[in-house]
Amino acid sequence: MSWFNESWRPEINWHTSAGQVLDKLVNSLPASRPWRIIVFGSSPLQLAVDPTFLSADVVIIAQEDVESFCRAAGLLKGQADLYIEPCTVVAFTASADWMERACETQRKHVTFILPHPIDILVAKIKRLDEKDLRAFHLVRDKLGHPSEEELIKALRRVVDIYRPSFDEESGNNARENTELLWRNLFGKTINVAQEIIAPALAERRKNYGQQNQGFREALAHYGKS
Amino acid sequence: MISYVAVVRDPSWVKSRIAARILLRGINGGLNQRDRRFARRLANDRGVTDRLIDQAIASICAQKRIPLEEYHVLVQRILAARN
Repeated sequence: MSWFNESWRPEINWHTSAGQVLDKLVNSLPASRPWRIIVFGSSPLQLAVDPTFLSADVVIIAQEDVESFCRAAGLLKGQADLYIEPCTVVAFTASADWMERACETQRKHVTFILPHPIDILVAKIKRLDEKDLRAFHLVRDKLGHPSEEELIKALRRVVDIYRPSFDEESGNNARENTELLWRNLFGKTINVAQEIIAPALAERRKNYGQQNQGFREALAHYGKS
Repeated sequence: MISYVAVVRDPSWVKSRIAARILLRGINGGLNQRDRRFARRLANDRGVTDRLIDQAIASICAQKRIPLEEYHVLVQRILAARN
């Protein structure tokens, strides 16, 4: 069984700076209703893997706009040293089953959802700056994962990150970043097209029932004769 | 009374099932002129896709309780008939 087929059940350190900011967020949100908030980016790693892994922001996705509550509590960028960055769901790229292995934890009336480290890491590939590379090393050092095989499997699940960018985007470097990551993390080269994209697309064709092509052609053949 | 089946059946799905029946008859050499006319028409129908015909063949075979191995053989025979 893969490391990421199991639910992530870490011990969360609420004394970290990210933990303290999230507690302030909890206190700023009306207790009259329950809240579900996804925390992604680097802060879940600080909360659950290594308290010394620092991040300037705590990136969240809430079920509704929380900006006014964050502003009132002085938690937004420019208001706090370590700030809350409210995002929409499009900001987090992960495979369809990421919720299955995510960690859910309750703080008063707020449920926080922390994606599994593999999903946090995979979401960093498109950008992969120095700090993102350090996140990969940190998770490998502390948790002993992901192995090369696990990372290939995880990247096949998000194969669409390798598609060309939209006109409105700056260039997509996912392929180059993956090659760089492999050299940096495993000291090896990787053929992204062969080891990630082609097997993922073959799997997708099979799932979409596209492996059997040619029925229309057979029908046309009978129509001619 | 409205038939539930009549309400939920999509036209592309109905046509794909007809196409599947023609293909299944075709590999046994049992096609008549009407089948061939339909085959010609359905082969040019944009709603009749390879995916839907594939699903329709599977559905018909399941209804007829054709064993899985035999179903796979039938699919291969249908696809081989193209040439």
